[in-house]
Amino acid sequence: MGWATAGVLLLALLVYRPLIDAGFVYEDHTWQQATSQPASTWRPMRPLMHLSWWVQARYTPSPRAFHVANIALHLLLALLVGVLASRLRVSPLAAWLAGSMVLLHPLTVESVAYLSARTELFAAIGVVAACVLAVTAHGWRWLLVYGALVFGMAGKETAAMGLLLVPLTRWVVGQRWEIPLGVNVALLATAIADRGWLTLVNLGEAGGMRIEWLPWLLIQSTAVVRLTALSLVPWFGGFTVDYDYDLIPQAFRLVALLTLCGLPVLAWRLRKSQPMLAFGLAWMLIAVGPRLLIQTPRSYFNEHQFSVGFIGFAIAGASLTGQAEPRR
Amino acid sequence: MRRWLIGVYLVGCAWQSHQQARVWVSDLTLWRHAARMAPLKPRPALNYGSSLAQAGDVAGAASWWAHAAALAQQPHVPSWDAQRTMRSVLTNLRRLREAL
Repeated sequence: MGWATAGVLLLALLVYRPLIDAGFVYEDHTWQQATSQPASTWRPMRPLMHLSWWVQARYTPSPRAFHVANIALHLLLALLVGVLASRLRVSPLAAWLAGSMVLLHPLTVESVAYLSARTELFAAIGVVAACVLAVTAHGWRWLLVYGALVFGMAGKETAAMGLLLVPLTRWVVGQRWEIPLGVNVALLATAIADRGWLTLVNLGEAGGMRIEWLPWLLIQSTAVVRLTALSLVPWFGGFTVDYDYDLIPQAFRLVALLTLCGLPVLAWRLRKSQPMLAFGLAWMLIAVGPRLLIQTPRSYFNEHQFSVGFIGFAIAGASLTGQAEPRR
Repeated sequence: MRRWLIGVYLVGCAWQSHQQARVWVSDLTLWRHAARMAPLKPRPALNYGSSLAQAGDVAGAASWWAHAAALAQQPHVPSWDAQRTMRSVLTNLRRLREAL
């Protein structure tokens, strides 16, 4: 496995070599501007992102340093995914493969290459770390689990879905749930209300961008289905920062929504015969859930926003190579 | 055999990822790629025009902004997207005129 790991790391360095000479792109300039202001003017959301940009802008301002930091975070995330998979008692090969998939899959490139998507890396690291800790957590160690989730939410608020992903992880390893699930649901509801997410359901990011909830749901469902397809079949391209979902006919969007509605049913039916597949499907659905309701019409569901959801697919797909021991 | 298949799978992923990483090197490469992948969408055309303007290609920028404005008139483009595109095109052209 040592040589294989070295090979994967070498591949990763080759994959991301172009970013060493890359510049700031797209909304990176907005972050540059925001973090050049005094800390007192920063928005309260995503403080970890603000802080990391501020520190780098002050001490390592070159784009190269920013990209190296993103690559380092991505390596850490891949390592954590491998650790999580091993804690879920899949075979060592499957655990190694899960981490390698996260490291090398083209669907994860956007969250690494796009510096503004560092928020997704922080959120994913927090969520996966929380799940790793949750597998063996008891007593005071639950503080570490919630601490990891807070870390993730300080990167991006969607890490709040970790409050549901942690119980899911405990379920798949057959661990008794020590903290009432209602506590997590209440915390999640508080996070949603506090961030005013509910006001975004039919408001959009800026005035004049009102979009009804059903068209939004249809488009986002189409996006999830497309991103799922890219997860499964990544070798033929189709990756882009701005896919034209508006071109997709309504009938296709409806089929996509119905497909998405069928996935929880499929996950439920597989929970005993194929628990890891059920886990992967459920993980993805929980991770993408907020995006089906919260409207950001400037961009529909894009690749970096799917990075947490993809982790479920990576673990589920890797588990098909075999399991180390019976789960329950 | 299984390990060979895994190796082929990962190398295939890495190749595709490398192609994607090259796209993200600059605004020019990013939005040129996006405009090619979504030729009927206004925003990639708009942003490609802006990246051309930043690179000093004024004529190219104006051409792509005009193209974005034309794309915004298509029936499948949501009204909020069309309005935003037109606002951005007019603002960009005004700034370009002032700069010249």
